[in-house]
Order: sequence, then C-alpha cells, then structure tokens
Amino acid sequence: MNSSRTASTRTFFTLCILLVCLMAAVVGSSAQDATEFSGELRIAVWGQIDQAVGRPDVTVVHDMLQQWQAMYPDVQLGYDYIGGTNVSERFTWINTNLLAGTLPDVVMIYFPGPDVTNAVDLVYNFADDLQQPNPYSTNAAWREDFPLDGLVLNQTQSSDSGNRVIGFTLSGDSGVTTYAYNQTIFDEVGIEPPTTWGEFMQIQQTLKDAGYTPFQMPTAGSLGWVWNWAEWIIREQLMEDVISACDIEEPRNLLNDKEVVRCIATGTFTLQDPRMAETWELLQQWSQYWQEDFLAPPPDVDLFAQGEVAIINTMNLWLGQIAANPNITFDWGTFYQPPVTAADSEFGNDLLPRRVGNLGQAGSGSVYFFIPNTTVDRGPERLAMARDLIQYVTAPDQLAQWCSQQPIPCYEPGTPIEEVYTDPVMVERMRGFFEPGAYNNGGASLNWATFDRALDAEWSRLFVEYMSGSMTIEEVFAEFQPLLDDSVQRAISAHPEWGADSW
Amino acid sequence: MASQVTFSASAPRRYRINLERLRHFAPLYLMVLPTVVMLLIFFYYPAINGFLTSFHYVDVRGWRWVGLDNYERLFSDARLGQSFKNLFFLAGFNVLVVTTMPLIVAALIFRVKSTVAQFWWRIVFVIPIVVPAVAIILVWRWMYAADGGLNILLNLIGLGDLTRSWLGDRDVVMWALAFTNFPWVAGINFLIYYAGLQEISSEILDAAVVDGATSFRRFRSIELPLLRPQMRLLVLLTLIYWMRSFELPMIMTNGGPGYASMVPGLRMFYAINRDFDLGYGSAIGTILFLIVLVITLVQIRLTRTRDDVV
Repeated sequence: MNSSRTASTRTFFTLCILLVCLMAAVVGSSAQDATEFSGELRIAVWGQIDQAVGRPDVTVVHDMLQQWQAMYPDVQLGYDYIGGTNVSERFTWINTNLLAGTLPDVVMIYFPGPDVTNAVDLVYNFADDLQQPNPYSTNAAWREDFPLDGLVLNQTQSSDSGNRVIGFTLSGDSGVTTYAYNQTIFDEVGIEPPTTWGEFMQIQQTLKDAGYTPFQMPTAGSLGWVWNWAEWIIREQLMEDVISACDIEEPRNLLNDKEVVRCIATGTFTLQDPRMAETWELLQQWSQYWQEDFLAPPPDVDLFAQGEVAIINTMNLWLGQIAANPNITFDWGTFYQPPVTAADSEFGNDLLPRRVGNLGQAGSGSVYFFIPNTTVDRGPERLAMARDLIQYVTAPDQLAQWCSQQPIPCYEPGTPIEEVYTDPVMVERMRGFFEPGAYNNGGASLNWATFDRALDAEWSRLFVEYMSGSMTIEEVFAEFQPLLDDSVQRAISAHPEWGADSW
Repeated sequence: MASQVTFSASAPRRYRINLERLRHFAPLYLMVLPTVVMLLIFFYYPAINGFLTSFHYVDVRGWRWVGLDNYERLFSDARLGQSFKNLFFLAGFNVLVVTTMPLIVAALIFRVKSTVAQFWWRIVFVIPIVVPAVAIILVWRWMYAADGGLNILLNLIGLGDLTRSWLGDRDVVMWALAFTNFPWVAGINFLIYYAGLQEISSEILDAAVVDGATSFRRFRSIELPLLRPQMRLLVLLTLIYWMRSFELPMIMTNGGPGYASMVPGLRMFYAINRDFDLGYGSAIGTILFLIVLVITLVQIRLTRTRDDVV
C-alpha cells in the first residue's frame, strides 16, 4: 500500500515535472517565436532620417526603427533613401518602383498619396491585421492604438475600403499651415499680428514703408507651390457654401477625391464662379508686398533668417528648421491667415478660413508606412517581419515617443494653447497653429493636387502667367478648364467604383 | 594574323557565312559584344520602350493602350508651341555662338607668335572644362538674382535704372538664359577649332603671306573655308545638345516665369519625373528624338555630298 502510494506520488511528481517541462518548452518556444526574425529587412525612408542633425522630429523615426532592430539582432535592417528632392519626385520614385516591383520590404512616406492608397493590387492590405492585437500594445485590436477612433485609418482608406497605409497620428487639432513673423521687426515698427485681411494688408504696408520686405512668397523654384496654400484658404472661405454642397460623405469637413471630382464634374464648383476671380485678384493686390523678384526662383539664402523679410509661409513640418536655425536670434511667432471680411471684398464674410495641407484635420499625421505586395511574395516570414516593424513603431508607447519630439506635441483636441505650452515664448511661436483650432480644420478640400499633381503644377504656372501680366484671369481660366475637365474624366474612368454614372 | 583579315574581291561571296569566317572573326565580335549589349540595354531598349509607352496611359494600376491620345494631347498643348519656340531660340543662338566665339579665340591664339604665350592662352581657355556645368549655371543664377552680381555691377557703374529681376521678367528671361556662359568659349569647341587650324598646311599660309594677304584675308579666304568640317561638326553637336538639353532652364528658372522659358525637354522631364505621366512624357521624347534624327540625317547627307565622307 505504502509502496503503491509512493509509486503514485512518484508518478504524480513525475507527471508534474513533465508538465512543467512541457510548459517551459511551450513558453520557450513562444519566446523563440517572438525573436526568431532573422535576415535582411529593407525600408525605403523619406529623406535621410538617420542624418538629420538637429531635427529630433525627423530622427525620432530612425530612433524607433533602431529600437526595433535592437530587439531582433539577427535582422539586418537597411535603409534605402527615396529618390527625388520634393514630394512629387519622391512619389514618382515610389510609383515607378511600385509598378516595377522593385520597392524594398517597407516604405515610409510623409504623405498618404492616393497613388499608394488606391494601388489595391500592389500594396498589402492591413484590414485584417488591424482587427488583431498588436503584440506591442495592450489594446484588444491594433486599430485601437490609433487615436480619435482611428481617424487617420479612415482618412486613408483605399477605394475598396481596405487599409494599405498605416500612419502616426497627431492627436491634437493644430493645423499645418500658417505664417511665421519676425517679432522683433513687428515690435520695431509697432504692429501686431492681423485679425482681418484688411489689417494684414495694412501691417505689410507699414513694413514696406519701414524699408522691410513684408512677405516672401515663393512662386517659382522648389517651393513654387506654396502660394497655393494662401489661395486655398481665401477661396474656401469665400466659397464656403460650395464646399458644404460638395461635402456629402463622412468624414465631414474633409473632401475626399471622389467628392472633389464629383463637385467639379457636376458643376457645383466651377472656375466661372466670380469668387474664383476675386481670390486671384486679392492675391494680385497682396503681391505688392511680396519680395521684389517673386516671379524668379527664390535666392538660396534664407532672407527671413537674415532679418530682411518680416513674414514667411511655414508649416508644422518646417518649424523644427526655424527653431534649429542658429541664425535666427530674434523673437518670432506665428499667426494664421486672417479672414477676408465684407470690408475687404464684396464676397467677404465673417467665416474663419479653413486650414489646408497634409489632410490638416484633427488626427492627421505625418509619417506613414506601407508594405508592397512584392514583400508578400518574398515569403510569410518577410511579411511577418515587415508587419511587426510597423506594429512596433505605431504602438502607443512609440506614438508617445514620436509625439514628444514633434514641434507641436500631441494633445487632447480642444486644449487651449496655454495648457499645451507653459512657456509664453512658445505660446507666441505656436499660436498660429492652434488658433483657429479644430473649427473647420478641413484641408484637402477643393484641391485637385490630390488626384492630379500635374494639374496643380499647371495651375501654378498659369498663376505666374497672370501675375506677370501676360494673361488675364479669364484667359487663364479658359486655358485651365479643359485641363481640369480632362483630368476629372481620367479620375472617373480610373475609379469605376465611384459610380459616376449616377451623379 | 592581321594580314589574313582581308575582304574578298568577289562580291557574291563576300557576305557568305561559313564556319571558317565565323572562327576568323569571332574574337573581334566577342570584343565588340559587351559594348553592343550595353548599347542594347541602356540605349535601344529604353528608346523602344519609351516609344511604346507613348501609346499608353500609365499609372500604378498598370498600362492602358490609348493609341495616339498622347500625341493628340501633345499637338493640342497650347504651351508646347511656346516651348519649341524657346528651344529654337536657344539652339539658334548657340549655333551662332559656336560658329563665332570659339573660332575667333582659336584664330587669335593661333596667331600668337610666342609658343609659351600660346600655351598659356590655351590653358586659360581649356581649364574651365573641369568646372561642372551645374556649378557654372548656379553662378550665373546668382548673377541674375535681384541682389546678384549683374545688378550690383549696374548700380556700381551708375546704370541702376537698368537693374531688374532678370529671371523673373518674361521679356528678358530667354536672353538671360542665352547669355549664360558668356563669353561662350567652351574649351572643347575651342580645341576643335584650334586643332583644325593646326592641320592647315603652313605652306599655304606662307604662300598667302608672300602674296601679301593680310591676317584677316588669310582667315577669311584660307582658314575659314578649311575649318568648315569642324564648324559643321560643332553645329550638329550643338543642335543635338540643345534639342535634348534642359538643365539650363531647369536650374535657372524652372521653365518660368510661368512658361516663359519652358523647353520641350523640361516638359518631358516634369511629365515623367514629377507627374508620373509616362505616356505623355514619352510622346514628347519621341518627337524630340525624331527632330534630332532628322537634323542628324540632314547633316550626314550634307557631309557625304560635300566632303565624300561616310
């Protein structure tokens, strides 16, 4: 009996030990699974993110990628710099390589271009993965890692409702475009940031009288498209009713490509609207305060940093460069483009202008990733590795790390600027990005650049033709209208899922 | 061995392929093969591919046959005519330049009696060859800037009224581009003329001196006619260069202001590189290729008839 009990006890302990060993083996195997990535993983990066000295907002992405690399020492993570010097050229590089099947395993982009989001046969769809947990997060599903109910995922949905682009998200509601001004010059001549278009013109006249170049507006060179921002802001303020009529799909306050194309195709928006001409005339009047040779490519020197120009265009992505510029020793601040009032124009209204730029809406981000299907073809291990990398850098901890290095940190929408920045100097520097806040923080509105960048380039050239006096507004619009119509038709034929026949 | 590589006088048998001939010429063909392969890969394949692309609309979804749509669009492009006008202006101006300035400088240096001085003059005009063309263009862009060298110079000499935004004024921008590289004595062009002058028999020139011909008369009646082959070569090369070149307007003005300094090559570059409009860009490239081809054929024809050179 005793020996029998002893045998049972022995058997029991033996079984326990075996069970423990088995569990250890299973756990060990799981741990092994988590670290089994090996081999090469290449990522195409948007610029030299590993060499941007003094730009923590850029190098933070490199830091996070290196953190992932450190977790998997058997992986050789390599960078390919995306070719080109501007957004269009870089997207051409991406598109060409996407089409040729020569992209690296992962691609990092700063703008979720429609070319990529709608390349449904060429880019990996994360839709199913987003329903599963992110191993680097405690949320039940990866989708929950993205702030504001995954707004950025909704905004970058493909034409088939898939998710081919995954991005970081600014959780605040600051806009992306505004004007930076030299506070020292403003104080010297006794002016304040304007609150109306009329005041805006007045302070520039004051600056001009004092011998300064009031405003630097590029209309040529690598930043020749920047004038477009000002135009959008004015146009969309004056044509608010048109924007509203075109805005028929969720999310509201943001026109997607389909809405813009539909708006033009149905004639809801037309160049013949007198408010279009008024917008250009306002810009023409404003140009008396721009740099003397604004039709020529801008000089290679930074006239704002040299204290010769009082006001310049800027955006959140450029703030780091201004802040890190050792030549800028003067105080500076930002203000948003003021509204055109009834006193300024027969079409003026009291509405605050919409913001423009990189989606521009609350929750929009700046850094996105996608996986070309060629990575899928390279085998499940390569895909798992690429996906794991993206899951790591978009996990809540990494989003917090990224936010902490941005010129404008992430914050709860609606938070007053004084609660985001306690330093009054920073409050003045960033005010233009916060006020007006989430109100109409639309952007990507009546903007044909999103579905046809070439068209936008022609628009800019025609604007310069008008500004140089070689064409009238009527001639410009008459020349542009067929280009616009043709582009709209091409967009419609490329998107049968829009059901344009029923428009 | 070399003496065995002879061509048969018998015409019908001349091109007959047989093993003996193949074995005989194989090493030579093998030596040429790498170059031919490279040419096929890097020149002919892209050219043919570009031609085929010009009949397609291309985006990331793939290729779609559109027939002659890109060409119709090209010929209805209101701005392309202006681009070609600009191109012909630049090409014509530079043909004028290449047939005068380097020739004059070469003739003048050729007349310098001291060989040492002649050597140093040659060095002066040849050394700029090593300066990258882009660097020169950037220097000229600074010269033309509102606060650049040209306006500074004009202010210094009391001609401040003439200052302007040279690259922002559509009335002068093409002239500004044309005057880039002033005094237009490119080292290679100069050397070609200089080598041509050195080939002229000294007996002819001495005879002319004995006959009392002045220096200008010798240049006009002897040197200039004998330099025609060099002149024709440089004109051809200049035309071909400017037909396909666009770096000058791209770096200086981006084709602006507006379309004022746009050239077809730059429009092709933007269509392909910026707009990913591969079909349209390829159509422009095809038309430019045809123009260059026609110019080249005409030039070859002229050369064959006048100089009996293949």
